[in-house]
Amino acid sequence: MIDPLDTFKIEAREHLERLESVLLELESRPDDRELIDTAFRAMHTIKGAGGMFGFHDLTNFTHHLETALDKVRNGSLFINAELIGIFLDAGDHIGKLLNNTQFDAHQKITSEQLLNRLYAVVPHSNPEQSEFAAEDHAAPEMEKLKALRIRFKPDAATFQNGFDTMPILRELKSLGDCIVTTHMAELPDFGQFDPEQSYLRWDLILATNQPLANVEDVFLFVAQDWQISIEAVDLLDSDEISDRLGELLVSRGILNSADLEQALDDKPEIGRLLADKGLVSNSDINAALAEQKLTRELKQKSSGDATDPTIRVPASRLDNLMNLVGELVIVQARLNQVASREQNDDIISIAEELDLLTTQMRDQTFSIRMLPIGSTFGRFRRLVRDLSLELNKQIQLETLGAETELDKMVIDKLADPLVHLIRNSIDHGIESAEERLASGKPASGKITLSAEHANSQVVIKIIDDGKGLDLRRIREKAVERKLILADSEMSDEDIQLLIFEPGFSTAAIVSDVSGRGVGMDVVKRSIQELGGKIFIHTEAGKGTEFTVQLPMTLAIIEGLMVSVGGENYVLPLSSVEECIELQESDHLLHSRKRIVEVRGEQIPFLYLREWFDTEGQRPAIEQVVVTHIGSDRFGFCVDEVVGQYQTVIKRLGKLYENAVGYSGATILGDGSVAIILDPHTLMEAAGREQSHLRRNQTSFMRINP
Amino acid sequence: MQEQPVQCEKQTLIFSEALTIYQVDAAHKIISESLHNFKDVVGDLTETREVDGAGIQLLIALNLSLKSKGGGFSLRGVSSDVNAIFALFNLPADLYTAEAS
Repeated sequence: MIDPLDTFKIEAREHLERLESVLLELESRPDDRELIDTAFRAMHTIKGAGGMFGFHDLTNFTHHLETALDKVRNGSLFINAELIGIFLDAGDHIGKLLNNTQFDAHQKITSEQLLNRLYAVVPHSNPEQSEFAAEDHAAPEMEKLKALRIRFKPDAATFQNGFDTMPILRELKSLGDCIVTTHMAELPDFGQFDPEQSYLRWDLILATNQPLANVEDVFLFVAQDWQISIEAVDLLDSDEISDRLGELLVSRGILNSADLEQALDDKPEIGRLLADKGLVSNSDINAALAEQKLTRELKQKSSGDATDPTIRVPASRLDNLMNLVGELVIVQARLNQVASREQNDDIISIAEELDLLTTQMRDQTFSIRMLPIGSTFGRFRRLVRDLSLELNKQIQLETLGAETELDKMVIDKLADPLVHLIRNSIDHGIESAEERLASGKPASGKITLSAEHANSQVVIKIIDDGKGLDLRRIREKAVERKLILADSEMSDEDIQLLIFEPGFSTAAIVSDVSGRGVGMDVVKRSIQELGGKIFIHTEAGKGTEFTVQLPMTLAIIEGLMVSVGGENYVLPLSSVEECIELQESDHLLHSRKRIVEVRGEQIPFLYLREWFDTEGQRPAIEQVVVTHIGSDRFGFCVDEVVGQYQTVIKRLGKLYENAVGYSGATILGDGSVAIILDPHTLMEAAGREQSHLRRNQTSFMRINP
Repeated sequence: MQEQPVQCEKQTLIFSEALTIYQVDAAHKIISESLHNFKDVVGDLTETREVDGAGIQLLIALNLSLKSKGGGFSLRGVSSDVNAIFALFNLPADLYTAEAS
């Protein structure tokens, strides 16, 4: 169980993240009411929850910020960059207060400084009075939005007794969204009419988040004499029938079910039909229609807002669950093998059923761990804002695909590499406003951070419209650092890749921003540890694009098992296109040419038997598994295609971390090990070996599993 | 001398500054005495600044009564304050349709 205090801190941090995110949004949309309300609510909740735990210093500090946000909310204070800056700094400060709730002297000084900054901007406030003297009580908590059906009929003498309906109606309307229906059916003819008596009655449907007691208080002085009924409308009732007009009239007691059913037999529009039959008045129908309209809107809104109840569990439990599912998948594979061997119908049937359940359980467990990558975008927006101010550059960050889901563990480990890539773009990529204007670009630079799913992978791009990589300078630096020889022949692509070499730095001045001892080599390694890859594309004067490809999960993949010389290997099914039979007559055995023709297209392939120096007789008919790697197609020639296989990925360990072409290993049902192949790096390695471009021997080390 | 709460002028009823519980009885009497002469009636609220629930009820009763006899009732010179009261009661538009001026 998570300690309540820990829960408070976790939730407070989530509110701070939300606050930061909306504050940054407010910079470009200062009039957005929803953003202002969200910021207010975040601060209000931190304050209220902090008070519950007795953190009075935290509560007092947040009270001032909440008050200022309330002024923004009610229009007496306009949000601007200065105020946003103060709120952002205050949010950071609250984060520190959450770490040390004892509120030491240093924190008090920081709080005072921030409040002084705040009250220099917030008008009509007296900091002397307000600092550290916040009220202890929190603002009354609003309840969840609900619909109330209110019906009242004043007593006949109400006017003579000095009461009127108008103040009642006004007060009810002030409590929320309200639709009023005035029923006039009981008014007598003008001749028989006593104007000092009350004949009218009212029906209201009120959508409000006020407590019921506040609504009842409206009738405080007339409750004895008026006929009053206040009922809650069930918004959780998803039954479509329940809010149909006829049912509403029955539930309002205006119509009985038998009359409704009889009327419905005639089929025309129910409202007109009932009125024509004299069963209900037009105003009753209008009142019911008003309720139908408002409650449908509320149901729609609440279903849009509705989130399943959530529980908070430690991430380690999810990791344990994931490991257990991995083990279950392995045992399942074993059972499948036994079932297949024994050819017992009962066992086969159980194995199939269990296989289905295991797959569902695996997918559900995955989905628990999946989070939208947008949850990390907030910190990047803050990073861009703060660094562009620090470096006096104008930079906008555009984020796309925030809803793209990724395994939580991948997201957590990805944050630092992405921060470094964005820092690099800000520091080294985007030019100063003067430089940009001089080169015909807009003064403000742009960094685009996008995420999308493609081929069971997540592709994240960081694109800047800066000056691009200086390839000449990179080459010079690499020679200086003895990474390459001065006369090395290298393509532009190879030169670009040098920035990922350990210790490489081209910045003339190592700045405080990106020169923090974390090089691009660490970024590359971090991404590789996640089973991902990073690519660069740069164009002088136009900008640089970093592409990060990541598996959606680090745990289990669907694989295609193949065998070569009795050894099993797994290829990720997501990259497999098709399998082609390769007969001896299809190729010249002694030719070095490794190309197979598929429907007119020539596809290069790699003999895994040769690659792994596998001994033994080749089968007469081999299989080429054609994979797609980006826009390229590449084949792997194997002895046999065994079939689809749920593959629990096990890391190969440090000994093999430089081995290219393998993304891990998996344990098969019989306890043996199969290597998981990485088609992309295998293709690259094969291509490089072919062209004798071996620069780094360890990069192309072969292993015999 | 107290102001007459309503004057009959052809088919136009000119209401005084207030139409509240304190005026409705007198207004009702005057209108009732002359109502049989009218078919289509215009209620002139140009001078009317104060209306309460009893006043609204009187206007509604008059309207419904005329319409039930095949006549018509419209209003003229409705101030924004009075209009806000009609809106508060959410009355059907034909009950307080203002006459085009």
